[in-house]
Amino acid sequence: MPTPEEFRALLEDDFGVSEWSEKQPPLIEAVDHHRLAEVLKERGYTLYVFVVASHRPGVEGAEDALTAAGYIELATGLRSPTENSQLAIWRVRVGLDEQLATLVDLFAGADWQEREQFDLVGVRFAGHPDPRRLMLPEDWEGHPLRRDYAINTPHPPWR
Amino acid sequence: MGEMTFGGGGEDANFFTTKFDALLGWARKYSLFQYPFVTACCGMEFMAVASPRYDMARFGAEAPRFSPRQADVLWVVGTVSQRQGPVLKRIYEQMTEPKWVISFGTCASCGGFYDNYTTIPGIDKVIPVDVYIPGCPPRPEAVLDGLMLLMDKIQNGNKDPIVVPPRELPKLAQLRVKKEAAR
Repeated sequence: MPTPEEFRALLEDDFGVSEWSEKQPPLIEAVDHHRLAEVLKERGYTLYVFVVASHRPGVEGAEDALTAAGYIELATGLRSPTENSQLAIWRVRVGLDEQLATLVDLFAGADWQEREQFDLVGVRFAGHPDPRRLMLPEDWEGHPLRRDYAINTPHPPWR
Repeated sequence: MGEMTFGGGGEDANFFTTKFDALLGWARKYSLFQYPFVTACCGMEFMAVASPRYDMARFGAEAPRFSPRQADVLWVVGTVSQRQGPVLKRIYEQMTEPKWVISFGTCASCGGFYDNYTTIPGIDKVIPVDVYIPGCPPRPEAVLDGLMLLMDKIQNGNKDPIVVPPRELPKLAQLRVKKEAAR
């Protein structure tokens, strides 16, 4: 089990993150998503707890290209079942047209969780073995938890 | 019953006359085999109705069949989502004729308070419904009223959908009735 100092060194040296808090978990680059999960799994974080995505619509006139175009922010949580059940959370930001590496090859439990996030928010997971919708019908158009999804969109044949 | 007329010398006669439809309806309404399609919290109320305190067995609606092939009545109990719509339709189509559908609770009847993208606003968008039982969840008495309404419908061969009325009028409606009576 790594100490907090070792964690700080890991995040600062290998992933280039310097600031985080309990309310703002470390924000890492999307390309490092899979590598960080792999490192954590080696250090005892073997239980995949959650992945939550939220859509941030584009802001006009923003300097950052990602913020201007809109992005999806994902928070992933792993738990260590052996060491006092500690939770490791990190965030990544993915552009609306970009893909994110799947974690199914590391954690089998990520399968349906990632399908749910694809279904409702529209995150594309590269290398997912079964990238179908989980909750909505297969022929659904759009992703209803995106901010720009109109809540009164008609959905034939039932409504 | 009223549908059967005893022939000749009163009740002790050894034959009676009836129409075949009435006889068939009489036989059907007292042996309703049910298929509970339970999806949500109304299911707890459905269990209360089926348990001995309220006792649906009194009406011959005792045996639940967990195969649609063996069931007469489809109870749709709870919210039905868009993804479940095709499943519900398929189960309805698997049931053999004659078949009836009871929509149990507000969610199954009209979507309830789920005014969103994923809930079907009433199962009548998917399958025909015979009896609507409003309530969130309905009281067991209302469910028994609905069951008796369905039995009447089966007896009469009535195909129109019907809503279970409240046992007593709401307070505002009572006031209105009183006012109109005083006028």
